[in-house]
Amino acid sequence: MKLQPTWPGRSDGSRFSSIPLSKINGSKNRNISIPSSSRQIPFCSRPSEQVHDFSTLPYDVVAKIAGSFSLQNLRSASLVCKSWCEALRPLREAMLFFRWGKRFKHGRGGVRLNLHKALDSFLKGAARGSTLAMVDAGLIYWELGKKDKALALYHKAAALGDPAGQCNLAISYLQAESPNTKEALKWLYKASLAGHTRAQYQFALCLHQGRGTDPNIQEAARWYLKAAESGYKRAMYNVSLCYSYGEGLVHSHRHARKWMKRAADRGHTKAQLEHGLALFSEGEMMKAVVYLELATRAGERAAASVKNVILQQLSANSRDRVMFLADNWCALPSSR
Amino acid sequence: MADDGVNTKVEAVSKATTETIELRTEDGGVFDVDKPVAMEFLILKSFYEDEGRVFDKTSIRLPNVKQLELSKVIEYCTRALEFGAKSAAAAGDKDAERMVRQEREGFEAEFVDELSNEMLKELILAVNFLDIKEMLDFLIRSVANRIRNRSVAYVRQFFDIENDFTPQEEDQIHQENAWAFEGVDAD
Repeated sequence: MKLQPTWPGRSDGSRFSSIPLSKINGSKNRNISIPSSSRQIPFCSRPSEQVHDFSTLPYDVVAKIAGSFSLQNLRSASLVCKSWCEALRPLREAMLFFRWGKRFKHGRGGVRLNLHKALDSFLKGAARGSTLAMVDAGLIYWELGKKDKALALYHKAAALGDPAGQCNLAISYLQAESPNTKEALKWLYKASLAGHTRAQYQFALCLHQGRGTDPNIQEAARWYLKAAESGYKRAMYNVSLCYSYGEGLVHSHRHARKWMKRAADRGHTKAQLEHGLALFSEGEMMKAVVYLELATRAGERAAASVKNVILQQLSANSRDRVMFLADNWCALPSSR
Repeated sequence: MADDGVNTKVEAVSKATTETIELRTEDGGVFDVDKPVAMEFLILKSFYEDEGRVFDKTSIRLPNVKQLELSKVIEYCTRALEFGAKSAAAAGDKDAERMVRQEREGFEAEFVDELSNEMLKELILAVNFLDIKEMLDFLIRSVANRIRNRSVAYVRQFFDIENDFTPQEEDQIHQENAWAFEGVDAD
């Protein structure tokens, strides 16, 4: 039966009592005493062949390791051994509250939509260390107009390394009345490094627009590309433009077309317009008009005139087919 | 090794702040560490601050830390302080700030890449003992990345931990929050 995790050999629980100071030879020999508040227990030196037992990692270290784990990973970590299971109990409880929060937020799983109950659940989860719950609680506070409270929660999650928290925090800073671009960039960068797609896009935008830093299209393009490769449609659109103008990326018509199509297929309205127009100029009428119809439906007025030109040249049968395709069109999944 | 039990007052020598502190590891390593770096080890820092004294060259034995780990810790903390200073110096110059950022990014990636799993674990224990917050967070993130999305068996093997659950106990954990462990609803 494992004992409470403590440092091997440390029996007094006091942190600093047991570092022995020794005198060194030299002219300035001083007797240095251990602070009187501590006990005079010499530290047991452990035999060098003793292997570290990681099942006795301090609970807070284990909890930190699993701090930003998904539910699935948290379960795996809880099953590693008893002491880890115990160490992660607060996090599991936090996850329970997080789940309840989600149910109240969306009104499913047998409960009615109730933002305040959702917030309550998320706050309980946040109090037990779940960064996921912190971020969701922050979102609700933001919706309720309590921006200070939202910011505090985002900050807490961000400080614990949660990329979504970092991203939201940064965006809050950017949208504030007096934007704090320096802080925003710092957090966007961290979240981007951690692979958070939206953060990568926002970071690229700041670099592109020279917000909080000198404009740097090359680095912006690099991050647009990362976000695009992860499926972020707005980044895909921007990547296409970079290739198209040869800004930040080498000029390439082929790559520009490829990325514009990808963005269009994921439902980016302007991309649908651009892609439709490009198909039109390539002579692909049927395909072009479908995209232009989609763009028109989404509000792109510019699409309407070209679309109508094409439609007039089509037979009734073809027009029906176009509408059928547009009606049944589904966007490919895009990361948010 | 242990103190001689005498509470001798140390006379503060005016302006005689130590430039380096000698740290000795349990396996006989001796390191002369710059004071600013050593003060990143909170376990040492509060000890110094407790007394409010100025020590001349002092030798401190760190029983929980081995040479290999301490040298890595010193390397990281020294570079971290350098980056901090560079960052501060570059404040206002966007290009320079970005360069420091990228340099730090590169250093940290390389630092963690070179660490074996064993070394990573040992460093966590050492850094947790020495109480170096920034480095601990960095190492914890690195470990989390290595075991994220891995099976229970992998995590056990990674940490060299024996499964001390009985099958019934394992089942119980599964049952306990079974419904909570079904897939999280997408937002």
